[in-house]
Amino acid sequence: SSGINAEYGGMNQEEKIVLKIIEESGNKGIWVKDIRFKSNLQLTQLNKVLKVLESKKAIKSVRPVNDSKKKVYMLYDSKPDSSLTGGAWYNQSDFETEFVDILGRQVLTFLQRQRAHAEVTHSDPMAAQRNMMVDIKQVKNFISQLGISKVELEEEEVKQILESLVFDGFVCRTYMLGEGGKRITFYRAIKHQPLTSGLSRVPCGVCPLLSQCTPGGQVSPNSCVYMKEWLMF
Amino acid sequence: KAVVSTQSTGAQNLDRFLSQRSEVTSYSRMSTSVHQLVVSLADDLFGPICAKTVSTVLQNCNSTLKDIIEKTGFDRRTVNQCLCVLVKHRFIQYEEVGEKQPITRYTIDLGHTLTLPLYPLFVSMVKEHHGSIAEIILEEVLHQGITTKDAVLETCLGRLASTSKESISMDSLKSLFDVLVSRGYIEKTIQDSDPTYEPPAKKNRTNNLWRVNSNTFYAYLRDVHLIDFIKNRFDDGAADVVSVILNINSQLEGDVAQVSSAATYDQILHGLKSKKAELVPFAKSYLDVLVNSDMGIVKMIEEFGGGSFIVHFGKFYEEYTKHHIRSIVKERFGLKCHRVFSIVVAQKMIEQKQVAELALLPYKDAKELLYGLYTENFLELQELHRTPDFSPLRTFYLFHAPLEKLRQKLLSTCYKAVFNLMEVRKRNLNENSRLVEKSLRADAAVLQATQKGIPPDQLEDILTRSEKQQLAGCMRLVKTLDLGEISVVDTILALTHFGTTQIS
Repeated sequence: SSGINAEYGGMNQEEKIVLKIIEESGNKGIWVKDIRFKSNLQLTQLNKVLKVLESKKAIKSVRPVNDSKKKVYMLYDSKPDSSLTGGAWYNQSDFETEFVDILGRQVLTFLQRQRAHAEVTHSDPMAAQRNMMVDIKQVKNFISQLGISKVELEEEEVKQILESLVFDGFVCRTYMLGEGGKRITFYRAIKHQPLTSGLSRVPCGVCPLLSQCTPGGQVSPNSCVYMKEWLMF
Repeated sequence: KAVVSTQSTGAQNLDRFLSQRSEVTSYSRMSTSVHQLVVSLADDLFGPICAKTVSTVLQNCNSTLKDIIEKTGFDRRTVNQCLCVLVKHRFIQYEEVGEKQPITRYTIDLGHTLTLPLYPLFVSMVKEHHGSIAEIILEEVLHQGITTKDAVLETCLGRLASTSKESISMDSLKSLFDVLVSRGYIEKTIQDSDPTYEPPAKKNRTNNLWRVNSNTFYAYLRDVHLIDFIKNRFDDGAADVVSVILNINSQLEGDVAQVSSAATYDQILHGLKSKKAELVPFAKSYLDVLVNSDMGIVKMIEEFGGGSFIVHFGKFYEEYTKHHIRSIVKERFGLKCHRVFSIVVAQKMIEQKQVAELALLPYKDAKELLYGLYTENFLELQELHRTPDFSPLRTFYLFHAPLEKLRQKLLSTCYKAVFNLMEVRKRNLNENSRLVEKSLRADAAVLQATQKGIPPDQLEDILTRSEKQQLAGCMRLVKTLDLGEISVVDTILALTHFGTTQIS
């Protein structure tokens, strides 16, 4: 810390204490209230210290994506942890919906191609199923080769994409034992299921006013606009 | 005499009352939509008097004849006639209660009444497997409810004579009827019309009484949908293997079975050889794929001799219902909402923050979608307090999807949708009733002419051009409504687990 002292010019005792506390918080940062608790300084005093340190570019403030009202402080050079920035999905504090969607579609296409290839080359269904499975590393390599991502995605982030496809119903997840008894997760594309429930094919099935609908009422089947439109279609 | 505490005896009496009238509590849960639909069906088929009777019995379940007469205001003879018709068509069932002075009590047979919207499916199934004459026989049995063999076959003969040119003998009709009986579509019954109307002595016991067995149809529909589901989820080969397992011990014993009978590996191989010989080398592999799948629809119950396999219908119902519910959420709320809903279903109990992380959506969007589903009662919140002071800051709020409640709610929505479609059709036909009558007269005239040998184009047009257009429009509307009804019936089948669990 004496090195830092020299770098930023003379610092008084309070500034040294605060800087040390902030340094300890690493790249997760620390909340103002917590600094006050640890340093036992008054709020006004602390705010002055923080202002000085910020002007000296010793520390910086970062707003986590989930809680935009809070502010955490960390050393100027440290890289904010992904839990604060939202990782690859957030650009500043905006969620990159389009990027996530495109990436999801590309990964799904990759898995579907694997499936198609496995089905053609293996007539035995069990062998075909084994061949169409991919693990996270393979998907990560595929994404890097695509080159559409500005940053290199972490394995955890690739897993998030795959899990979102599982929840959408396009991909299935299985576990296998790998080397050293470690559990590896595999993903494969499921055959596309075109089923649309019959109830959704009639206007009543998707109507937001169904609970108010009654014959002779203000909302009724015979005066229903959605019904008329559906019948005219 | 000591005064007994009225509160305790009152409570005891209430308990006894409720346990005797346990049907009361289940009926009170019955939704308005089912009530509306049943009354509408009765009105459609039998007219307003019977509809009023049905409505009264619905509202006062386990009614006696006296109750019904009192509440409807009709005279005894009318009520008797209504009950006779309704019992014959299985809208109402009766039972004699009491030992010393037995009294007949009437209730609505909901289980059977709610199969009415499924009749077109039944008829088309019979037509597909046994031809159009069998279709006519089944239609007549459905029309008459409970009937004798002679009565139904005579009506069929009459119908066929007036519509088709070729003559069909009574013997061929009889043998076709027997085929339908052997397949389980039609069953013998001992239930009779209301005994209060016809004195027992006059009942004709020499002729057996027949009615349609909806359980058989449910079982067939279940098998068809199951195989289709497997085909969509895996591939054609897997579907063939499953259909072989089902056919080996095709039970007509009914739809309430939770598992199929077991089929050994050898039996499956044998079945595949005759059906699709090219799949035989992969049979073991297909069975492995099916058994290892998460869904658990096909299970291995024994290992020796290559294994014995069953199809677990209970698991299929669960998966199929879940699939339908997810599809309804997707169509109604959108893809992103569907993802959020799937996450909650998969994780069973999950916090708002965790959903946002798993969903790969902006936090605000995920929150909005979650609470949107919560407002529509597709999700429920469970509070878990961390501290004894119940402070909201230190409470976990967990979302979960109440699938059983959702199933019942969506089933109720289905019945309401069917009712609404029927209402629109009724009004449409009423508005155009004059036209429809005219067109029927025109058709009858054409038929008469062709029978006499006069070509129809020589006849004068009864309908004008604009009338024909209007009629075509009306018929197109009715067709769309009918198709809509069949779509909803598809969902009803899934949500009632193919007739095994009705709305409570």
